[in-house]
Amino acid sequence: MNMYFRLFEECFFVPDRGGTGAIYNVFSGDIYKVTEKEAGIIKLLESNVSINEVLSKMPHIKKDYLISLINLYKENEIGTFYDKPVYINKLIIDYKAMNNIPVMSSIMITRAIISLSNQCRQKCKLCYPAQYLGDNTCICCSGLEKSNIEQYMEIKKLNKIFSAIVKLKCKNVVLKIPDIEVKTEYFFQCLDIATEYLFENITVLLGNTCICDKTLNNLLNYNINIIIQKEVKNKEIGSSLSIYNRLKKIKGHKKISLLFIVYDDEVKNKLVEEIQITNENGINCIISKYIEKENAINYYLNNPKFVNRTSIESFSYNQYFHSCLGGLIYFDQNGDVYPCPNLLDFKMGNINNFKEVWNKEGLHKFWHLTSMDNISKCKTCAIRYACKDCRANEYILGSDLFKKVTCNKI
Amino acid sequence: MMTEEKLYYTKVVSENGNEYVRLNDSHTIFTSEILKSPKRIKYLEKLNLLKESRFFEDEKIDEEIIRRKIYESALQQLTLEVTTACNFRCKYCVFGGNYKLMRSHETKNMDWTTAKKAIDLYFKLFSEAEEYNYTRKPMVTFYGGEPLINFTLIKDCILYIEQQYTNYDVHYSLTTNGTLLTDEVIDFLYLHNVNAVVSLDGPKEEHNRNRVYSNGKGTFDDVYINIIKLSKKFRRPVFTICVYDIRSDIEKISTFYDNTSAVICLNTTPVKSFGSDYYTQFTEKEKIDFNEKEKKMKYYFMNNIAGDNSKVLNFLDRYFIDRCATFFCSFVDTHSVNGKITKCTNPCIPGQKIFVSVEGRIYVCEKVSQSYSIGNVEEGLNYKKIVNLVKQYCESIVGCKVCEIRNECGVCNMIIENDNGFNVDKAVCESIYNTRKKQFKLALDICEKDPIWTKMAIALYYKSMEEEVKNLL
Repeated sequence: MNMYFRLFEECFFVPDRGGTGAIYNVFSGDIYKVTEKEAGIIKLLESNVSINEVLSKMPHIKKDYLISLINLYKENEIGTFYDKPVYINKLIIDYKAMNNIPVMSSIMITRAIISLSNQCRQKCKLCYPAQYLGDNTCICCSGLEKSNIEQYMEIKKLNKIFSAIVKLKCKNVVLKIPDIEVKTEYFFQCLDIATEYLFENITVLLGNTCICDKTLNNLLNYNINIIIQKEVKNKEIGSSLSIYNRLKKIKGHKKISLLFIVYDDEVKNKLVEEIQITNENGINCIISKYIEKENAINYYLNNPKFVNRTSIESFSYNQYFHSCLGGLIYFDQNGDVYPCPNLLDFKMGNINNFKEVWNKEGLHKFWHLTSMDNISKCKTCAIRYACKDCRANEYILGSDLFKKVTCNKI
Repeated sequence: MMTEEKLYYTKVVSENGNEYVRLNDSHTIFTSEILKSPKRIKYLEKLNLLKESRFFEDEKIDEEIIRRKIYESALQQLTLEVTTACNFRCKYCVFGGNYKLMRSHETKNMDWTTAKKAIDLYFKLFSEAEEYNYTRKPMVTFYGGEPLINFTLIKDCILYIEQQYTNYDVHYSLTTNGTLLTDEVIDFLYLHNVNAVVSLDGPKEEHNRNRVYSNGKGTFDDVYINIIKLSKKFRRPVFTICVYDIRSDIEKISTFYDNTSAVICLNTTPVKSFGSDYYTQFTEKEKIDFNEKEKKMKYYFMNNIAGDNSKVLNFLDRYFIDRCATFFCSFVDTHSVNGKITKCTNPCIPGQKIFVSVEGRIYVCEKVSQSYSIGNVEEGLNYKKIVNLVKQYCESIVGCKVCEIRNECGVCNMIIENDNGFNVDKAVCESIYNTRKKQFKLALDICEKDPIWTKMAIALYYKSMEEEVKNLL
């Protein structure tokens, strides 16, 4: 009998320009890389070409190889056999169509980052003038914020921001507080206001590890996530050392994560040690590698790339929007709006004239324009819909929003 | 784990003999292979593609929640019933006495004071709602009777909006029978970017069968001459709506549309069956003949049009794809919480569209009977009345919670209202269910023929429509 084999509705074959490709399983989250030979076969099978026809169209493929390959796919539950051509309705949320239907299109902010202050007593290596870049720069201190001119977000403006983003269905808010001990009362007032708006997740990023017990205890009274940024150094000093002692003492520390800033490989042992301590104390940790700007391109090109797992939402969303910038909005202390804390060349407006942010060339267009399908080097890469791309880093290193300089995979 | 018996799906076998299931709760389609795999079914649960019964449990509804929901929907449009008068007496007209809950033909005109108040109210609400959706544009539609009977008011409304609400890029539209499109009217519509959609049921003999003047005379000649004028002025084909019934000859209508460059059929729609005995006039033989003809057209469509890129705006493309378009749209529902006000079925939220009658009362839409207003132009939307209406509706659809198509049924206020409020008629449900199943099968047959073309045909259709509208703006 002439048999057909099709990937399941939840499995997507994405070809690569080089002839290879990848299979995304949006049920399990797995992404499989496939060879050129496999990619050729899947392409035909996915076009409802029968197994026998595949053999005649690809004479260099041996029948045993083809059967064992397909059986492997079946065993792994990514597809199955059919006795006739069949229609597979792929499991995707069509964001493009949703945006093109006027009655459906609506702006949805997924994450708002708000910088409350530009004052910090700590001197980190990454701080102004910013010489370093790294991963997770949107939730770290970017090094661009610190200034001699003291500035705090006005409470009135903050209220305006919360009120505006809640109407655009924003559920996740990140408050950047470089140094909470500088004007503690003000920051707690900000938190009081934020919690009134009933966001699903409020995260505060504390740039300075110098935090007293009282402040930490007060923070833990709120239902919020706390990220404390900590540089990993071989020689620890003062407050940086004492943070562990504080965390050990307080209850409820599971709400706290430590964000380790790592500059070079020399601190590897120290990092392992610190991770152990955080684990022992039930504290989450995030590691962010920072590289000097002038060495960054070389570093990224010569080190392994990490990709995200896939899902129905991310696979669909990333086809139309940038995986990180899509749905993201950043407010500085003036209430000025940017697509990201590190893309400050692209001011989109101000909270006092929020409508302007969403005009014809507005922020929502920016989310779409920066999608991987619009980055010439990436648009034919098979893993582009799971890539941990950072447009800000690419922009800083390549001086172009649509360049990809940290990857040589084509 | 949910057992197969508890899954809410519709199973259909395509023309080619393949078996498919539609998981109606999440709007997804799978081959029936999925039912054989416990692992995949578990994923369906985990990823919220199968909804548990609590997803459909009613939640608290109050005035504030309703107000927010209306604002989130961004006040889709203002429809002004500028007149109840009409110079036609179409045989299927909802105001012609065939539909017991609808008004009869009248001769009332809306006055300027009412219209102005309605406009001011709409823009006030729109500006408040803008913060929930910055990309929406206001839309003002003129409805009748035949709206052009009160052209002076339409003109005054548009000039007032242009003068008073300069910050807005307003989209105007009206549906007309086409006979009152004088040169003056056409020039005004052109100058002010009004999208006029004309009702045209096909060639002369088809159109004149139902669309007649009060003396019974056919209206085709008078309409068509104006369509040509309108098309010349706008330098594009005129958008039309084509209504058909059992006696319509789809083949003739199709030939007419595909050979008439002055018109593009925007939408084909059958004469409304709910709330009327309109269809009792047709014999069983006529119904069988119509179905046979439709089958023949479907065969022609599948073999000559589906898969041909040059025929995307073809009449049969609209006729067949329109009715099953929802199955092609990939709006997968992965939500764990049901954001809808009415958890089952899909009615509009009363107030998201503002329909203002000649007297200045606000109704859910132009299609519902005018027995329950939800406000007026003096006092605005009456949220208390809206809450009551929604609660009444929810109570009447309690039984829908265990229905196979509970999350995507097209039932709304218009369909289930009767003399005593709302009532879900089993015969109506059965009809909706069977139609949906038929449409699902049609969608699968088209996709099996050429899935890539199907997606492209829909995208191209919307793109071309968008281009036309852009040209207009």
